[in-house]
Order: sequence, then structure tokens, then C-alpha cells
Amino acid sequence: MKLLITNIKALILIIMVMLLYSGCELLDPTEVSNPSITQDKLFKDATGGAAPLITGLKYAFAEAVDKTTYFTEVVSDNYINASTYLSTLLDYPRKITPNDQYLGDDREIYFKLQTLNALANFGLTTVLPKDAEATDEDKTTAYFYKGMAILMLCENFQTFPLEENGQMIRSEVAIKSAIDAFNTSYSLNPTGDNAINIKLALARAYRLDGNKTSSVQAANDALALSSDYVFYAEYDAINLTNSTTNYIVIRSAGDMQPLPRLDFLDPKYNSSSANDPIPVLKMEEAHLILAEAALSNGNLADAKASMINALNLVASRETGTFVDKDKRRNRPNNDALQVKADASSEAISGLIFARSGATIVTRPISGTSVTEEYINSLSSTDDLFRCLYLMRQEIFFTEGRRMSDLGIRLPVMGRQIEANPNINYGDYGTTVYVPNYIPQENEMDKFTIDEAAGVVTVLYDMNKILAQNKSSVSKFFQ
Amino acid sequence: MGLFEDRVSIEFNYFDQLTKDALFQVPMDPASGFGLQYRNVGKISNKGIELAIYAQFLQTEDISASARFSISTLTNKVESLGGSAPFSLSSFTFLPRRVEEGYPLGVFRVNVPIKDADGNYTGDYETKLFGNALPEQSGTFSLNITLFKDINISGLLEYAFGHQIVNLKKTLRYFNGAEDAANVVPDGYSFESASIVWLEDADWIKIREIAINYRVPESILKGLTVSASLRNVAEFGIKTSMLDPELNGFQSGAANTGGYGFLDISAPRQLRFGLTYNF
Repeated sequence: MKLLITNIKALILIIMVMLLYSGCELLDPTEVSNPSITQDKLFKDATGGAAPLITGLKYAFAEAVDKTTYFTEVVSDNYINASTYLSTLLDYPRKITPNDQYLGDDREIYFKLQTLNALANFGLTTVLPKDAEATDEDKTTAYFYKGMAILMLCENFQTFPLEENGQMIRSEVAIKSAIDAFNTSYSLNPTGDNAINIKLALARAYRLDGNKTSSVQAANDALALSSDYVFYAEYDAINLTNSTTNYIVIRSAGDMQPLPRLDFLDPKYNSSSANDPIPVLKMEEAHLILAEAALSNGNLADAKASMINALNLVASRETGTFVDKDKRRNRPNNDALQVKADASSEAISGLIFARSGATIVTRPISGTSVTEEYINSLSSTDDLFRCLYLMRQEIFFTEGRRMSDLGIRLPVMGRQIEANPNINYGDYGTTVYVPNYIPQENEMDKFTIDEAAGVVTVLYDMNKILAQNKSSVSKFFQ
Repeated sequence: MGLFEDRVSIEFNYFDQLTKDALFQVPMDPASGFGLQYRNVGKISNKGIELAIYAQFLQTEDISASARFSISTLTNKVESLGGSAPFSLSSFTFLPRRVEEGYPLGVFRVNVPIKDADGNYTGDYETKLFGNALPEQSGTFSLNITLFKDINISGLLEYAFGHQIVNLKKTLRYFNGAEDAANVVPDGYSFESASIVWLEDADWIKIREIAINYRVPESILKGLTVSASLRNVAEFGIKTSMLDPELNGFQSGAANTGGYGFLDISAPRQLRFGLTYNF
């Protein structure tokens, strides 16, 4: 018996030693691997890296467009921040600082645009050259997104670095890098949707650069390829939502409210699941660029023709419906009301919808209040310029373009200044730029409602002001 | 150190500690495409004293009484960032807690409205580093009295002074138009440009508990004790509005310095009665 007990003890001891030796491998024999880390071997062999890179670029692009959209829409005269947790200073452009509640956040516009640029650079320099399976199409896509990142930085900021600890680069210089990226993308794949994307993006970039000839050429090239093309930033309800929708559709607290002049375009997106795509490049812009170029050349007839072409395209765009229960807190909510763009303007009907449960028409791609008859009635450059910028405002509504058209440029975020030894507070581009013609405080958003007369009067017609300052506003007029 | 046959004792500590290679989530250059990176940066000093005094100041046949008082002070300072740029701890961007050389860890960056010579607001503001989320001084006071050997009365008081808190509850009331918060932002300023209005002194004194125990005479029932206690009795010296400054509603992982009061609810006042019987 004693021997048996001794043997059992010995057996238990042996089993324990074996368990100890085997350790975790006996309990979990699978090899541990972490798919989330960037492995060193990637720098030597990135085979298979192109596909996740392109997915990541699309994600980063959609995120950057989303942030750019709601941030700049509030800064502009398009929307006011009625009651959101967005920064309360955005409606007061001159008060925006690098450490603004939203601009200073690493989930917002500046950071996300820089993230897109950095990811594209990483892909082009590290992943794609070392992925034997990478195609020219992958490179085309990466160059396209790199160009879009820089283009959108140039549209919204005066100056910024384009690499870690890099020197500040003025947007007038950086736009050349965007154009180079677009041209490289085109040279790698001058066919299909990429060709249209690139031509539209080049038309937009050359316009910002003030290169009228190249902008017109790219716009005409785009129109030769398609008459109605639209390129979207895409979202879905699970992975990445169109967060502007939270403020203009779901509106749990009234949130963002449009200028009464633009009420009929609100909301542009109408999905409660926040997966509506945001148009980024669309053929309307080619017509509008041709119109601006013709106007700057004194060719009013061609300008009108291009504007009417844009109108016809807008008229052909799809519409949607939306049951709007918004209470329009302190806002006009009566379709009998007329709107005057400013005190001296004519009162116009049909711009304000009755909400509070009514079904309204939405325009998820483009909409405008301008008519062919109205365009044909105009005879001066200033009047046509005003009409053109009104069309730009309406057609690009809730696409994050208006602030740039107004000439406002944001400061880089505070962290950019603090983390880069080449940048100090007070340097060019670290303070907001607001042209002198922009009204003080939040006056761009001001209006009065005269219920008795049935008229809403906006304090300033910003498009009229832009026309009065067209040589500052449009590089085609410089 | 004990005095008068240990009826008085004093405990005193002085500390001067320097933390090297403090681990922070340091924000990266946005142009790098990266957000935050854990790094060992800088040196943080903590200096202060801890003093505790105990006194059994009354001792007769029928009455004995003792008290204990303790105080601790803390001077916290970021001595060096090791060449890294100053940065914000995870916080609210409109009033961030900063890591800046020469200031306490989590010092607040606030926008302060500027007044002209006549005392009127100009509409401009300056951005300053101000305040401290960590109390400069905290301590306790307790009292214990025994009467006729059968009745015991005790009390405990705690306090913390010399720190500030961002009153996020007030910001919510402001946004929702609550009357008591509607006018805290001066005319011509906004929620952000006058952010100093949300930062409040967070001093507090609280009587935590008053308790009484009565040991029933053995002649009546041996082993029975009757007790009553009142917890969270009272608060004094609180300067925050609508907010319990002791509660930190927002706590960030890497450097939990507190400093944000949100919608937390203070511990309720409790009245307890008890019967204890020992066999």
C-alpha cells in the first residue's frame, strides 16, 4: 500500500512537471500572432499590402470629407450652429483659434486631412513599391487620394507642413504638389472613372491655383468624358457614418440650421442611418468653372451658356423625400414666407419649406433656385458673378466648399504648432484668415422675420459682397 | 513621537520625489498621420509634508476624549518634458488640462476675457495656464468621546483645498438655457472665449460621519450594543455651483489628475441604526 501511494505521488509530480514545462502551449497550442501591428518585415516585403492600403485610403478620405463638410459649413454662411457640441465659435470666423474646441481635436478636419496625406505617402513610399502584387490601379488610387488631401488642405488652410517636422508650405506652393499627384495618377491610368475623377480634380485644383487655361482645359476634358458623373465619399451605418447627418437630419437638439435663403436645400442627406454619400467631384463644377473663366474674360454670353448647362444638369439630378419633423427653433417654418437676400433685394417665394411633419423634397446631389430666365435677365459682370457664386453655394451645399469660396482660411491646429519645432504661435497660417469683406462677428448668419409682411430678410447677401470683391475672391479675375 | 505617556503622539513625514521617464500618451505631429504614442518623457516632482497629531486630551473615570488631526500637502510640478513639446492630456478641448514645464501636471489652459481701464469687457481674451487639478492640501479631523464607559460618540471630518475643477454640469445647463447658467458668459464672449467661467475653486470640507454607540449595562442584557450613525452629514466651504467638487466625472487613463466634474451624484445622507448582540 505504501509503495502504491509513493508511486501515485511520483506520477502526480511527473504530470505537474510536464504541465509546467509545456506551459501555455499545452493549454493553447495555437501560435500567437497579432494582425494589428505593423511588422518590420513590411519594410522589406509588403506583399498583399495594397488591398488593405486602398481600403484604408478610402476610409481616411471619407472621414476627411465628413469632417471638412460639417466644420466648414458652420463657419460659412450656409449653416449656423444652433445647439450642437460643435465649437460655438465657428459662427464667428474671426474668433477661431488653433486650439478651438473642434479644430484642435485629433478627430477633426485638419488632423484627418493630414492623416489622409500621410497614409497616401506611406502607401506610395513603403507599401506599394514592396508589394509585388500591387497594380498601376493601386498606385493611381493612392496618387489620387494624395492629391485630394493636399487640394482640400489648400482650399481650407493658408499653410501647413506635408511631412512630420516639416517646414510650413504655403497653399499657393502646395497646390502644385496636388496637381503633380493628379497628373501622375492620370499618367498611370488615363481611362474609366479615374480619368474623369482626375480631370474634375485638376479643374478644381488649377482654379485654386489661378491657372485659368489649364482649369478650362481640364473641365472641358472632363465634360468630354461624361455629362453627369459624380464621385462620392462613401459611408455606411456601421463602420463610418456621414456624421453631418447627425446635425442636419437627426437633429436631436435642433443642431445645425441653414440660412433661410438656403432652407429649400436642407437637409441634403436624408438617411437616419447616416450612410448617405457626400458628392466630392461632380460634373456641375466643370460647367461652373467654364462660366467663371468666361466671365473673367468678359465673355458674358459663354458664361451664361455654361451656367445654363449647369442648371440643366442640376434639373436632371435625382431627388428624394424626407418627412421633416424639425421644429425650426427660432427659424422660419412657413412656406408662405418670402426671402430677401438682403434688404435691397427682391423677395423670392419657394425658398422656405413648412416642416414639422411635412414631406419635403431633398436634393442629394445638386439643387438650385436659379432659373434660366433669371440668368438671361442679367447683363453685368457683377450680377452674373453674384449669380454664379449663388449657384456654387447652392449646388455645393453641405459639401464643405462654401467657406473656401468665401475666402476664409483656418489656422492649423494647435498640436501642429506645438509638435513641430519649425512652427510657432503667431507664424503665418497659425491664425485664422478672414477677408475684410466678411461681415463682423456672426453677421453672415443674421436675418429678420417679418411675419406680418411675410418676408424674411437676410442681413447680408454674401454673393453680392463676393461680386463686389471679385478680384480678391476669384483668381481668374486677378 | 510620543509625549506625555503617549497621550499625545506626532507623526511627521517630508517627501521630495522626482519621477523620471514618466509615461504619457504624447500627441504626435499631425503631419505624421499618427495620433498618440506612449512615450517616457520628462520629469515630474512631488514635494510635500504629511503631519498627523493624536491627542487623548481628556481622561477621567467617567469621560475620555481623543482627537486626531492630519494634514498633507502636495506641490506637483512638471520639471522637464525632455525636449518634447507641451501637450494636452485627454480632456475637453475648450478647456484642456496641459502638461507644460514649470506647471502642475494637468494645469488648465483657459481663455480669460480682457477688461479695459474702466472695467468693461473689450471682447478680446487672452489664453493663460491657470490652476491645479490636484489639491495642494488635504486632511482629516476625527473626534472620539467615551462617556461613562458605555457611551461612545465619534465624528470624522475631511477636507481638500487649493485646486480647481471644470464645471461641466454648468456648461450643460448653459447650453440648455437654464436660468442659473444662462448669463455666466459675459456679453460679447462665447462658451469658449470666456472659458475661465467654467473653472471653479474646488475646495471642500465634509463631515463624513457622526456616530453614537451605547453598550447596554450588563445588569439589563449582557452583550447588547445599540448604535446610530449619520453619514455624509454636512458640507462646508464649497465654492462650485451645482456640483460636488469631490467627484471627478471625467477620468483619463494615463494621468488621472481629475479636474472635471460632470453629472455624478454625491453620496446620499444616511441615517443608520444598529443592534449588536455578542453571545
